[in-house]
Amino acid sequence: MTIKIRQTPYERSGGAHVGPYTVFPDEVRAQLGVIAMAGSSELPTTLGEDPDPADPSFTVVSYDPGPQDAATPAGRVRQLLKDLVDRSASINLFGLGPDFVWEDGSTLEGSAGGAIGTWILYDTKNCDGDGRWVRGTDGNEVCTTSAGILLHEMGHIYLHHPSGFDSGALDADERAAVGIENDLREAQGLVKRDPNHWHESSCGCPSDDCCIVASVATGSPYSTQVHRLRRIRDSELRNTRFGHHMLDILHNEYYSFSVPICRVMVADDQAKQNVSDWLLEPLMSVLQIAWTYARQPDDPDQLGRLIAEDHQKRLGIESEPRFAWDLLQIALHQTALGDSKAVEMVELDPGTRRIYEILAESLPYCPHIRWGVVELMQIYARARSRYQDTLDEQEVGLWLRDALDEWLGGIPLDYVTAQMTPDDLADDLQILASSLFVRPQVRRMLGQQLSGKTELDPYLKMRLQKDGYTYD
Amino acid sequence: MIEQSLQKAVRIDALKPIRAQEKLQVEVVVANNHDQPVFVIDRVRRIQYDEGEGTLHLWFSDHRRDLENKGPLKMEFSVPKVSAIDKGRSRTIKAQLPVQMTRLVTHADGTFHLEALDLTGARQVAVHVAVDSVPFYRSQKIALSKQLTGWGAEIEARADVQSAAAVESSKESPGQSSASKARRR
Repeated sequence: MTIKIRQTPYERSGGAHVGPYTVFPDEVRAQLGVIAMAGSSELPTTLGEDPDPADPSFTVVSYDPGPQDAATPAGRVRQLLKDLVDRSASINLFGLGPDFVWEDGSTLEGSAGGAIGTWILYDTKNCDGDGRWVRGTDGNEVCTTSAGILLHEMGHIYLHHPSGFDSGALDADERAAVGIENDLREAQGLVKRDPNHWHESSCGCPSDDCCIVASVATGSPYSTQVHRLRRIRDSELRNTRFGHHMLDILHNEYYSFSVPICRVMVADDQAKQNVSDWLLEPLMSVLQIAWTYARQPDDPDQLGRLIAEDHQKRLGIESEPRFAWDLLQIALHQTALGDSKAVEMVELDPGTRRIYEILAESLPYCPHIRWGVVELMQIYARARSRYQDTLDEQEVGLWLRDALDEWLGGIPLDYVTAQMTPDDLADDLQILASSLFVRPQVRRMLGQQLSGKTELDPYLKMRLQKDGYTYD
Repeated sequence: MIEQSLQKAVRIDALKPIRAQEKLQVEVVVANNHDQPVFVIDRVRRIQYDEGEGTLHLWFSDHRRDLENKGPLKMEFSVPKVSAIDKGRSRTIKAQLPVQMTRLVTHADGTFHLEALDLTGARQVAVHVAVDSVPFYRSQKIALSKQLTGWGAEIEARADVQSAAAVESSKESPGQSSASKARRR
């Protein structure tokens, strides 16, 4: 039949304290109006309501915006509303407020709306006035509105719900509903919601919490740099249990200092810029180099070329201080030992100095970060310094390859091996022998590390030797 | 291993449930004595009322929640937003609930009714807070339901509900804080 709005309170039952539940029809009406306006400033005169002849507790919505241009987001929003109004099956809109909980006791914080058959129940009060955030396509937390939630839920009905919770169909349905919601957002001039992050939405608008260092340094959790880091993490490193455990412990150590660093950066633009220029960018570069090394371990010239390219890029932006890379290398080395005094050699703003102090307090207790980030950056800083001196790609490339061999062979293994069965470890090391630990020198060093452990499983020993993780 | 150390090092220092007119206000002070920052969910994700015991459970977590959509209700679940507590610091989490709440009850035939959830008889509040050393990140490789219910170690505390009037009068009684004494002078 059409869209109906529940008008009269809904009678509650099931206990001594029963009574009517207000269903916020005025709010529902206003929010439908916002959808019909589709970003314009005028409420369409064709949007109306009449009492439902079949049930006086409802009104029936009427709406006829005339022909719409489906090529525009506003046109699509109006057309969808009209299609729903014209449908044979009715949709019953039921407004909720902060005194409502879902069947399992969950609050509107976790789920702003839902549907039962053709009933739509949704939060008309937008988290009791606190607002609700969703993840925008720019990576930031952006506010949403109750009208957006309503359109999203109507989108589900329009698209027909799949069954099951974690099914791929539900995921696809959610993305499609966000797509419908995004037409309204675009028509209203708002940043669109990221359909791939539909599950990111809860009360508070927007949240003021800190996020990872790279996100703050680059201004967005979706910046190219952060995206590259995320891609390396999810697509490549997490592919084996070995990589998974290594990332878990790296993650854990990283969060022992990243939050206080974020706090400094958020309040200090100079410190933010320094982190971006002297920590994040070099880290991105050296990860690229490490990746190239893993893919083409016998082509050191390629590594030298990447260093030369970085040198040229930087020259194009600003003149580099003569000993900048040497100083960075020394500062990183000292900081990893818990000494932030090395940075006194250079003139630094208080924010950046504070960041070094935070790192110096934490890094001595973070062996995996020291290996996975600090040592890698030290290698990069040395390579840059060498290139600055010699401008010899080939020489720097060879040096880099040897340095990366040694670095990779020194990967801290205690935590990761303790999490794995000998079988799993042997399986993963076999895979990694052809993807990461490709060079025989590296496998030999790893073999020595592993053999230094007491009670190495005999079966594991045999398999390790077979895959080249040999030792004397 | 990490979960156990968190449960030891992060604790609820204070829990104050206060009944003020038609609202129940709850303040939870979470202290972080861990050696690094920790993350907590600071909004009520679920409530559960044990009427017989007079205990209202407030879940600042998704632990022990049944997230399989078995009934006719179709809804999506969003991931929780977490807040950081620096090491050696504490954070006060505040929540406010109406004492007259309403719960949805669905039926297998696709119908539903609403049930009054009257919290006026709550004598005690139990809070369950999820805490972890890393923030919640959605992983596409793990089912969302599993990830939500598995995030963080759970710390909990209980306290009796006090009326706002009783709290006010205790402020005026001997032994009050120096701050309130100063105000009275």
